[in-house]
Amino acid sequence: MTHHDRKQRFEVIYVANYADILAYIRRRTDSHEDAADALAETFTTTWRRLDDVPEGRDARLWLFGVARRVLANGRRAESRRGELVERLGHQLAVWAEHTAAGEGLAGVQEAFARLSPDDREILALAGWEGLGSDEIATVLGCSRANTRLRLHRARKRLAKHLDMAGVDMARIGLRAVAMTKGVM
Amino acid sequence: MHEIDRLVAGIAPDPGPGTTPIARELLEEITSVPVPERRRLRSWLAVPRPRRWASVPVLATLTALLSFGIAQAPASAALDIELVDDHYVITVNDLLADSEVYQRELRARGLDITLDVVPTSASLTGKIIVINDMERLMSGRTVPREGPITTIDAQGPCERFAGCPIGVKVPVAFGKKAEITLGRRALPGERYTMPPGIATPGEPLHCVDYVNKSVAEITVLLRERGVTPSYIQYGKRAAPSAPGGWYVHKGVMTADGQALLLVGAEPTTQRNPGPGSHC
Repeated sequence: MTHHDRKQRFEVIYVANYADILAYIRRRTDSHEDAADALAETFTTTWRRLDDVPEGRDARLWLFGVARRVLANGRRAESRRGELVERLGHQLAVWAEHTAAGEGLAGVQEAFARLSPDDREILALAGWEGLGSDEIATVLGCSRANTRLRLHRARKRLAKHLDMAGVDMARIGLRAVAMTKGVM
Repeated sequence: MHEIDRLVAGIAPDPGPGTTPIARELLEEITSVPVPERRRLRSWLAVPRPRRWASVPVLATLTALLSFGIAQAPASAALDIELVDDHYVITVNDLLADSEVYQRELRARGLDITLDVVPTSASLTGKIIVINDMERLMSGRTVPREGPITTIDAQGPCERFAGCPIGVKVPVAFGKKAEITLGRRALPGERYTMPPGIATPGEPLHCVDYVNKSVAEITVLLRERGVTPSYIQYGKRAAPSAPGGWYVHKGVMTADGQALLLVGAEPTTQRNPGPGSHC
C-alpha cells in the first residue's frame, strides 16, 4: 500500500468514527486534556496499525477496543501532548461549559455510580454506545456467552440499586421490576 | 432495547462537538508521520507508548498484583504486551482471567504461546517457568533452560526463592510453540497447581532435613507449624493418616496449611539432597 492509499483508507475510517470515539472517550474521562490526548493516541495507534483494522462496521468496534486500552493505561506522557492536542482539549472544555448537565435522572446516575467499573463499562457500551452483546464481546475481547452473562448480571445489579434507592420502578418497566425480584 | 439499557442511555454524558475543523487538523498531523515498515508488518501493539519496560509503573503494578494475591481485574486487557525494540514485553494485568483470554491476546500478535497462571504458595508467587519449544519437548528431546524467551527481573537485589520476575520478553520473530507458567497466590482454600516442596525456602519445613525421618516426627513438626498433612504411598490414594513408624520420602505443600507426604514402610534409597545452602 502506498502512503497515499494508506492515508485514504485511514481517512475513511477516521471520518466515519471520529465522533463516536470522541464521545466514547469524553464520557469516560474527567479532564478535557486527557480526553484530547487519549483521542489523539487512539487514532495515532490506528494509523500505525492500519493493516490490523478490520473492514466495515467492525472497524468501529476495533477502535472502541483501542480507545478502551488507551484509557485503561491511564496517564499519558506529558511530552507527547502537542500544541494541536492542547487546542483540542481547550475546545472540549469550552464545549462542556455550554452544555447543560443531565437532569431528572439523578437517582439513576447515583445507582449507576454505585456499580463496579466493569459493570458500568458493559452497561455503558450497551446504553451509551448502543452496542449489542455480540459487539460488546468483540470490544471487550470476551466470549459471547460470557458477555451475555456479564451484561445480564450488571443489569440485574443496577436494577437492585435502583430499587434500593427508591427509584420509581413502575416507570421503568415490568421487566426491570422483575429483575430486582430475581425472576429473570 | 432492554429497559435497563434505555435508562442507562438516558444518563449518557454529552457526546461532544463531533467532527470539528480541529479534527481535520489532527487527521493531517497523524498521517504526516510515516509508519516504519517493520511496525507495519507486525505492529500488533494496542498502545505503543514510549515506555521503558523496566520503568517503575510496570514494576509497581505487577508487584502489587502478585503480592496481594487476588488481582483487582483492571478494565484493560488481560495482558499488557508492549513492543520494545525487537522484543514483545509481556506482563499479566489480570491474574484471574481465563487462560483462553491470554491465548487469544497472544495469538492476535502471532505468538503461539500458552500462558497458564496457576495458584501456588506465597514463596512461589511470581515464579515463571518457560518451556521455549514444546514441539521439541513432545518429541522426547530435552529443551535447554536458556532460550529465546527470557524473564525480566525487577531491578536491585532479589531475595525471593522464586526470583523476582516482573514479566517475560519474547523476540518479535519468535515462531515456536512455547508454554509459560506463572505462579499466582492461591485464593483461600484453593489447591496449588504449582506445589512447592515442604522444605524449600519460605515453606514450613525450610532447612529441615526431613527425608527418611519418621512419619510421626514430621507430622508433629508440620502440625506445630499449623500444617495438616495427608499421606500417600506409591500406587495408592492419599489418606489422612499413615503408620507413625514409616518413613517420609518426599513432601509438598498442596494448599495453604496443607501438605502431602509421600511415605513408605522402608527408607527411600533416592539420594537425599539435604537442607541446601540457604540454611
